[in-house]
Amino acid sequence: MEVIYNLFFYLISFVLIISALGVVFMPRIVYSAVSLILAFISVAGIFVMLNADFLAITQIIVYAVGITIILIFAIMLTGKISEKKLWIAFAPRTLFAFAISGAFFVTILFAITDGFKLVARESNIFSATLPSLETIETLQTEGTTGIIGKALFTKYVLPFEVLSLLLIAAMLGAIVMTKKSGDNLINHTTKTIEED
Amino acid sequence: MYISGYGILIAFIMFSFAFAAAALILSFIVQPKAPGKLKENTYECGMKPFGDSRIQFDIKYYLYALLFLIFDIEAVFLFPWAVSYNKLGLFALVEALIFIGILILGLVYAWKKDALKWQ
Repeated sequence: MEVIYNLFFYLISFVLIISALGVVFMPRIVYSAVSLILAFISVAGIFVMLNADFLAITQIIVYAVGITIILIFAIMLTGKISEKKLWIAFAPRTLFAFAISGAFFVTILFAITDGFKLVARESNIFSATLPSLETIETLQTEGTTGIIGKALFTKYVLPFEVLSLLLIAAMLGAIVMTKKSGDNLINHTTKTIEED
Repeated sequence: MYISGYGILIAFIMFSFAFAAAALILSFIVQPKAPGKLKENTYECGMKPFGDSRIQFDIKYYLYALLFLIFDIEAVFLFPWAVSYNKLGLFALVEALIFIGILILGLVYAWKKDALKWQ
């Protein structure tokens, strides 16, 4: 079981790294976007291996579908960008990029070499919030989606309903901003004038 | 262990990859090869293709992308409800219907504003 688990982990990680490199090095920006879909799906696979099935399905629905659609629309709607190669230009901003990604790399290195665990143990920040062994066991046997669903419709009903208001606000904002204001109004007045 | 339930998903992915690969490889093996300049041309409804294939699309499409994204997020939040539907009962059904109803109000607004109409 352990061997199969590791095999799948390395397989998914390999696909993830290759597709992430593809995003950077593909000759056309559209190919990069397609490569990005594969990278997102691989991350969903890693979430599945970590027993986080709700995160995995969210990763697929939101990132691999929603975000990518918006990205590809952005490429389609801006005229000449799709033919451009993504050259890495040596400008001052490149140094900034190197500094930020270097800092991120050091942070990840710190995390995977158990640096955070040492910090947490010394400062006792996380000791109270760690889940009990029982919780971890139920998560491993049932998966997280059912538990999240139960919580969402019993304890967190109000935030769930408020969320729909947030979504409708976003929807109305999208309609108002993409439709020209008064577009509808002008049509109606001209119609009534024509009818008269 | 619940992770073993993903076995069928892995089998499904592997089968679909194998099926696509087999279709491509088999057709490559058995196809008669007679390439020509006209044959390798891009097909465009019987017309001679002109211009570039990647053109700038109209900004009107963006509204559809945004509306899609909103209902996409709605699907994310209805997914856990669908998974634990049997355990939740009537109250959760009413809650989910209210959730969908509020979002349908947005769709009705879009309809009324002629945002879905192609102009």
